[in-house]
Amino acid sequence: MRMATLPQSRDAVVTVRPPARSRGSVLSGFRYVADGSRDLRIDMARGLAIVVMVTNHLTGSSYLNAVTQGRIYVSAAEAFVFLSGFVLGFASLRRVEDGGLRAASRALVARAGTLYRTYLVLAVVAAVVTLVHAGAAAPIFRELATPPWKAMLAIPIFGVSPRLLDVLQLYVLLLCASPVALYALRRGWTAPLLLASAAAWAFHQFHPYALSATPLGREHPYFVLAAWQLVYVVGFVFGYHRTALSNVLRRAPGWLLPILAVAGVAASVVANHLDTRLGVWPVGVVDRAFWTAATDRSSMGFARLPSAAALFTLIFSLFDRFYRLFARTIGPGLVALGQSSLYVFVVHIPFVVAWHALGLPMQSAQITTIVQLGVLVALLAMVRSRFLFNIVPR
Amino acid sequence: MPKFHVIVARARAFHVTLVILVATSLAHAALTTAETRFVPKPHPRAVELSEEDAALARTAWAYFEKNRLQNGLVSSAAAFPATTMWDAASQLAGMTAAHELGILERPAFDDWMARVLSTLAAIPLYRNELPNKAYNAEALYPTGYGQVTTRKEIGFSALDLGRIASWLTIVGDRYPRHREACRAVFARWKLERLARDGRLMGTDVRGVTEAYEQEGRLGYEQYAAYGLAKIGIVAKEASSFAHLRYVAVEDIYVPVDGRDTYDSEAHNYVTSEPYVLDGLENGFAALSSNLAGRVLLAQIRRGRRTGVPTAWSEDNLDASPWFVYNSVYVDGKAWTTLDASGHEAESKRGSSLKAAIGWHVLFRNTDTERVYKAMRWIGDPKAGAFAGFYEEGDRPNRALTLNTNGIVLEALLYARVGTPLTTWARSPAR
Repeated sequence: MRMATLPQSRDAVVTVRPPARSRGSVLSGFRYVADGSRDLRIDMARGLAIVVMVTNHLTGSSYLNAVTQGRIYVSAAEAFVFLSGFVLGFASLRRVEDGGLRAASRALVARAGTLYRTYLVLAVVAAVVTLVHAGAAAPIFRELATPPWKAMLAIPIFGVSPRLLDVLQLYVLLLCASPVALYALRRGWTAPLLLASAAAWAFHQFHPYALSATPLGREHPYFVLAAWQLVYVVGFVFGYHRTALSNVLRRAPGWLLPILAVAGVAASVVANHLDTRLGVWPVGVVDRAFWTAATDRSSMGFARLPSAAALFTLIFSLFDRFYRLFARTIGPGLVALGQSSLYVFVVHIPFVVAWHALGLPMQSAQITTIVQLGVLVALLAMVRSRFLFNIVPR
Repeated sequence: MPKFHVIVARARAFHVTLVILVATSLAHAALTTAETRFVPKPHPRAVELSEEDAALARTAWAYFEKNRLQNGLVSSAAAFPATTMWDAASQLAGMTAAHELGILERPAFDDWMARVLSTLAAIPLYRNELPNKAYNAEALYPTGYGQVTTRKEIGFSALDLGRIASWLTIVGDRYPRHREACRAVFARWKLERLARDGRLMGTDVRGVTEAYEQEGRLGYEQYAAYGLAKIGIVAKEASSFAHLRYVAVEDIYVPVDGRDTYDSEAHNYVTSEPYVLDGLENGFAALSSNLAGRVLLAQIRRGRRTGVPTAWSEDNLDASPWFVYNSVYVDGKAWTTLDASGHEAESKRGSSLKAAIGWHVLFRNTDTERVYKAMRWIGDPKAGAFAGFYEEGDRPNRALTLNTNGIVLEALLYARVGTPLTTWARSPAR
């Protein structure tokens, strides 16, 4: 399972603290209460996604991977891409209101620039390491195209999609296109924007090679731009219309969404189990072919969309309803990681490279799990101590 | 009552929505037409293997490891220690690919390859002339097809020798350290009877009598002639398209061999395998990409018409009659499945994984991807990739063969390097 990271704003790190207990039932006492402009539930969700990403990139048999990998037709990547869109949509609205469309667009492009530079540095370093010692940066480049100048030329123009860094390419392209989405939203073209995005996604399902001009086109093993943009655009629109969306959801019965989410997640987990583990469903080759296409990750098969929606809703509902419980346990750690997701993404790469260079994973699931937890603790300590914060973008 | 500017904005949004819908629908219709109307063109591209492709490569390689014999040969079918020169070529292809894809480390590869080549250089030849059509791969004596326990010389096949000649050249070019050993394999072959009057010739021993006959029909014939040319056999007629005819299948003119089946007892199967192998290895230098595209397009149209993924080829089966030719066209009929003795075996019709992956890495279009992904998972990670699936019953054909697994690995290597393998091999490995 491949993960993604999230481009986020330059806001200072916000520490989590349990909000004051509100009156009401026992359960409502655990509920999230907004405290400041930053939604800590989103940071927590991003933190959870990055924990899953890091453990999955540290490949091997472990208890963490057993729980987080291959259990449902969703990966942390969908969560990151959706949340990125959501946060940027919301932040862009504020920027538009403060400084106008141009300023908001400029901020989006500036963020794309930050991610592009980050990608460039990481890719060039990995390429140079590979040139010096083939395979040393194996998780990123197994080998380079020859002659080396071809590889070096391909990196800046996205002519190659190095593993681990491919998601940065996706974000750069999405961020560069975001001003157009923002313009459409300002014009009141929400429905056309969603329709255009859905049309590109649907078009890709029927004609996967037609929108294949970039390296994130059909040949990309993980993040096909035409397909993945839908998750981002939906997130962007939801973020932009966050207030209106909240009002709509508030009118629905409180139990409705969590129940639907639980049902959706359960269906996805059961289908995944029967499909991948037992292989008992779908039985026929043709039916299985259909289902394989429906759950294809790189082209975001249609069955992944409700799975992702259900899982995100469920997790967000849990963070919302039991916020105080989380805030007293794993919450602060998740928030810290979530608020520095780009930083964590960058600094986790040396760990992943070392993991492969040292010949890990280990045979023992226990040891692998302990080492993975150790890496997560190290990453959290680096965030807390603001290690290299002045150099590594956040 | 909404204000005027709100009404205008909504009207514009409606128009934009309409434009998007119409544009998408038009583009969809145009592309659908293009995908099924025009002969597809190959799109050679070097791509990073996805996790699923890498898993398939490991599955295919599991077949090699599980069926490896002491002398380095790999059984042509699971737990059935036989081989042919065609299968031995698939073994060389699979080993080369596994090494280049990082599955088989260099020391193990070198050791294994040296052993295979020395074994091939030492096998007893049919009448001390050329390799027999089949062997007991363990005891290394000539046998009949499917009869590994009985020593029997049944003749030689120019088609099989063409394929292995091609792969001995590829291995020799790519790995100079194995070049001499590759040459040693065919150094003792007596090549004179492989061609006559520009045609490829084979022999077939019936009782005690040897029939010496022209061998090969359009597709296999040109592919084999191209391979044999690399060891000095000139067969101009076999390389030409003197017998090329076209027949309409699924409203597309597909290439067929005009020679009558009933005169020669050789069926003019139109099937995927020679076109796929020619594309992977020679970049369609023996046959043409246009002919290959026509064979593919007929299958694409059938797949769309029936809803059944279609990648037809010759293949082994996991049940009697054990081997069939799924033919786009044969003996005057489209979409016909014949067993090895020429009898119809319609209940065993189905698609082959080796054809599906071959077409896909060569042409990379919507339909080839759909068929390949439909079949990519058919296999046992511990035993190898299965041959394909049966249309009747919609179930896997669990036959495990060297040819399927070798060609799967060969195709994945092609995907990785994006160049015909004979061309790629001319850049020797360090």
